[in-house]
Amino acid sequence: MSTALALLLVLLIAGYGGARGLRDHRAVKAGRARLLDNGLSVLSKAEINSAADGLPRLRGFWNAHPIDVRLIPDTMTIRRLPQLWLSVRVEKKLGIAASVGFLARHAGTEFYAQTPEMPDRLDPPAGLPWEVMVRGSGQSASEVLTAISPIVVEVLQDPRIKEITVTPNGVRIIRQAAEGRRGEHLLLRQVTFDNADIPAGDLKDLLNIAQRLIRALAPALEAAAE
Amino acid sequence: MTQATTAPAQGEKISLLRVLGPGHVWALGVGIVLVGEFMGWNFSVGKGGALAALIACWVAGLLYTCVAMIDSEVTSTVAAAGGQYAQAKHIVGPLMAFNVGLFLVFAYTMLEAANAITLGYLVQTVAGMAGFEGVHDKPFIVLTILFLAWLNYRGVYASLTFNLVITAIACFAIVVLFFAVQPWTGDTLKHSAMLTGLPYGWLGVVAALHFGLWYYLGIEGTTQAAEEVRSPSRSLPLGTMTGMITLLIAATLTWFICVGLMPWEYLGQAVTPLFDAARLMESTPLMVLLFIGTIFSTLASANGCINDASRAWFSMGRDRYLPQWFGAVHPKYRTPYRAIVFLVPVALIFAYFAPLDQVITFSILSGLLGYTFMSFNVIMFRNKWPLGTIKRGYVHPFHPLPALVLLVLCAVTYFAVFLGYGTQLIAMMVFYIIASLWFHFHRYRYVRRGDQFTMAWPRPRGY
Repeated sequence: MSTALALLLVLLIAGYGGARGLRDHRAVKAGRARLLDNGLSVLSKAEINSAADGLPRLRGFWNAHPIDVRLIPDTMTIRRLPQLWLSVRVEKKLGIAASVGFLARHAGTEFYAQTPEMPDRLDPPAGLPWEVMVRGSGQSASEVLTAISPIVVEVLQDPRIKEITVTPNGVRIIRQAAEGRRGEHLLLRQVTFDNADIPAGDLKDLLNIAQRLIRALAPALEAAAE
Repeated sequence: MTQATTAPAQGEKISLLRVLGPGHVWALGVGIVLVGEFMGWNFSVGKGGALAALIACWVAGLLYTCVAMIDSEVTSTVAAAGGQYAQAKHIVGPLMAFNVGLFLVFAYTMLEAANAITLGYLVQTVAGMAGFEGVHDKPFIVLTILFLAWLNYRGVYASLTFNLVITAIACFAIVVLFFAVQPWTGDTLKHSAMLTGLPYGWLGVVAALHFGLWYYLGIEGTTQAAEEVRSPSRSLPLGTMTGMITLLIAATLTWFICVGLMPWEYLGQAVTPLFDAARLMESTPLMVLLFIGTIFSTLASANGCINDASRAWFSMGRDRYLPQWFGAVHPKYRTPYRAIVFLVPVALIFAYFAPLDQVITFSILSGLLGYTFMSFNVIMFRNKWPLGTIKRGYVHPFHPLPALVLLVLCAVTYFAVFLGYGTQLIAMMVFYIIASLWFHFHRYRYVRRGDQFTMAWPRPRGY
């Protein structure tokens, strides 16, 4: 076989590899678009849009509250497997003038987190796992913290919960949805999540937690309404 | 090999199967073998001869064994994700963490440049063999770096099949070459003629240690991929040690093939030693296979380097060790796009203007500084938090012997680098000193000191 023919063979292999890679990329994106489909049965007036990375965003209503559900891929921390975070936000005016955030295992690379941006470090409530950072903003942050502490301490015993933030505009909970496959990450820093479909039950659990937090702040809401 | 999607309950130990399933062993064994076998290691032959290179290979293996032992203890105990960077934050302080971050960035960026140089040279060589004499390597160097940077910028995904095909071909190429030279017959490999003792004496063996590190460089990071919720493992550092043993065997095999085919004077300066070995076999299919294997391995390695270097730079931006501007994430692609783009010209400049051996030296020096840090790090760690004061997942034996051995071997390697690349050594040291001064006198005021330490450890002894 001449060198020119060998070169042609190499180019053909490269072309096939590139085409196969492109096809794989599209297939992965298409698969990711369906990850929040189970949430359509949980929310009313639900609709799913797709972001540029192929991950879906679900919007709808639950108990008359606007709900925003997103999936956030996180490959930012060196020497850690890729993470897929599920973000559930309940949009509701809570009648409070402060924000409080709880962030577990703070590594500094949580680009999606709101807690590190809050200026004041607060004393963690008793029973909170040691790796949770507590921050707040606003003069009444301590009162908000006191009101929601029992619920937060209980919820954060689940190591999958990454962040809980309570702001004047609502509640957001971020939980681990999936973790990247080790082999692919070690080989080529690829991001492959298995079984990342979000079950309807998991979404309801997070919404119920948010509801409990909102109820805990109800006195503040009633005071604001008066 | 399928991972569970739910995090383990607190206190659950990571089983051996979970840490090292069959696919993981494959990934460790094959993925790590890649680039270091295809290029770079042979410069140790030029420093001291073929036998010196083999001695250096094994001495470097001892260095990396110490690295693996020390790193396993600290990694298993510092629950914060982030590898050596996070460890430095907790055990030493922000200035050391800043330097460790720079070590990571430049070790990987220089490796990326070395990969691009190798790929460009190989394309030029093969084009010349095919009759295209006017093909130059520089455009391919630039194209490689820009293409891979673009892939990382976009966050391109590929399937398991695609990943395995790339790595399988690279591994297969080495195995095929080994059988092609028929080492059991003695017809092809001429060790008796090629091995000429130690042309520079034992000083040459010391000098060869410089490039001996190239066999294993980066293994301490390549095998680490912590889970988000991690329980310290009591198991031995199997991941890194498995990779070490794999590398040791593969390195010895590669050495055995190449020194039996090529005189040390040529081997010591070759850019693509395995491809050159295939050329000497005068087999076009073998050449094609090694060509593809080298290309794939350099691309795979360069891709990982861009990924890791940009994440390290991004982390320093987020921690305010560098301007926060670098800590941005692309709103659509979820990649550290500013860090990726910023490091592209750095890699391009070195890949375009510096020869391969110097670029490799810069990478090795940055890695070496990281290993030096590790030896001080573990001594400080044990002093500040002695055994029994905090929970450790793994306790490495014979402390402080591994740390002292590591320190001595690092010192010898600095001397080895000085023997042939004194200017580069001094330049690198000056760079890190100036960077440290900048950080101390200017940047430190922006650092949120309270956020640097996140472990629930007691106050260190003596504080």
